[in-house]
Amino acid sequence: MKSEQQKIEWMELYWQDNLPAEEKQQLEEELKRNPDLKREFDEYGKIFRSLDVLRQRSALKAKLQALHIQQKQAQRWRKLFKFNPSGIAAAAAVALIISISGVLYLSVKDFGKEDRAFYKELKRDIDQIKQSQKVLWKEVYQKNGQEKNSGTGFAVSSSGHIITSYHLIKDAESIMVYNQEIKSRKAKLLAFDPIGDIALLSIEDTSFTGFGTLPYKMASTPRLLGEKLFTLGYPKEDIVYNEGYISSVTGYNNDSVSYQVSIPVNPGNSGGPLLDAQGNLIGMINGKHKEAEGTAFAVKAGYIRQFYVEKLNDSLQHVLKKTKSNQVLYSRPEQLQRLRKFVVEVRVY
Amino acid sequence: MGKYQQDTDWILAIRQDDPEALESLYKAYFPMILRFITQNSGLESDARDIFQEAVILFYEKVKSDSLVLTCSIKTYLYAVCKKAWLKHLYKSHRYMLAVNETEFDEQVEPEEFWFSDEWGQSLEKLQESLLSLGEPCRGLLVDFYVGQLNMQELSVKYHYTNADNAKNQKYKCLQRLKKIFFKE
Repeated sequence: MKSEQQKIEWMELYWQDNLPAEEKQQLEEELKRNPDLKREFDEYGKIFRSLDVLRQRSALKAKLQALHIQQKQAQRWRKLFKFNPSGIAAAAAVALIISISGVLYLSVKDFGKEDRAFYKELKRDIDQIKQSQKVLWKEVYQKNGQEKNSGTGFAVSSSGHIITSYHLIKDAESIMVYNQEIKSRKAKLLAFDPIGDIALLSIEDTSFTGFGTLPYKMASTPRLLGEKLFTLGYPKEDIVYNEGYISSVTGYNNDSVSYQVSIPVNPGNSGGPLLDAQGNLIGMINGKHKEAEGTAFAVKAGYIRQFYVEKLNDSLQHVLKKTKSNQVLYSRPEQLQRLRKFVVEVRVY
Repeated sequence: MGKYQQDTDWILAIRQDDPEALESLYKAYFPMILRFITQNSGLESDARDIFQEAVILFYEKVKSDSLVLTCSIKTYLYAVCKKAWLKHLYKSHRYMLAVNETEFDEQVEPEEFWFSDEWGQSLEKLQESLLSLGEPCRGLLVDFYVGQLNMQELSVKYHYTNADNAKNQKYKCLQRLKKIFFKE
């Protein structure tokens, strides 16, 4: 008699049609004699076939997803330049425009290999942490098993939409968001912008009842040099507060959609909200300078708004405009007490 | 639509694994579904999910020769997406519809069998079972059966000492999966 594992292996080979004819016959005879085995065999059969369908569908889905992104990009060009497909002259003009703006577009935020070296994304990478803080983190990561990396995100709607940074979740198989108040919730990716490094998630969990009224609004005007600000994030399992100021109104390589901020941030702060003294949302932390300590970069709120206006048609456009900020009435600890519910740790598996 | 002038061209192309078939199908019909869903309180991401699911069903049916097409592909996809979206709206209690009936290029009979997804239920159950299986079992099985990683790759990814260990673990996970799947 075979061991349990050998038995399953045998059945799997049968269902994959990989069993030699002789053994196949042997198995079939045994199935006739043994109804228990036959039942088990059918059950595994169903699982193997379901897994196979899942595989085919996932592969197809990935293909479609690639097509989707490809066509969206094509569409964006058409929209930008009012592309008129009829007429060769128009087509030629478009080709020219594309090649010129290709350069412009790249210069906004494309890190050449050399430059890239000084720009560090702030997701908490397991290996990196393991090396630097081996003892401290060991237990946490053993417990969490397959956690790839983690960072921060913040609520932009009371119903469960969360903004975080794209580099954090780009290779995600599944995403969980967590904080003390809402506990651990499964989230799905709704939209993303790899250039601006922004991603929009939504909490999928049906038992999730919402965040409640947001305590911040999105700043409508860009902030000036020297503006005091603070951030909340999850460089460790518990929420961490830090404050600083805007040290430059352009980001890395003069990137105009980002601020350079002087604030101590660590791996895990990626995707965290950047708020001004009144508690207005003015940006999202996404990276720091590798060499210069205390120099971080944040995507501006205006760009984040533009992102969800563009990605989500109209349904979320006004989400952050509506809410009122009366944070100025509170002391900072009181302010943070109210804010912490809306800042989540994003765990990527 | 380029080289696919007729619906039959598309079907033949899919059967022959022509990689351009899906692309042109997407180009030709996604805008229609996007319009329908965004006019009916959906987001672009909803349109994307619904359309992709419909294309997957269509593709599977073409591949397995079980497609009974009594209308154009356009009408078929529109009807499948519409039905799926209405179902979703009903579920989330947001039912309100502004259908532009001219999207239909012919009379459609609401025949159930069009939309039937014989795998739908067991896949849903499979996904649920995999989730309640927890990590690393879920990841291990998904990476092996869906992601097609081999045992060597799995043992590295999940920190097993060797491929045999990963294989043993896989069978243990499979046993647990079967138990959860057939619990009720």
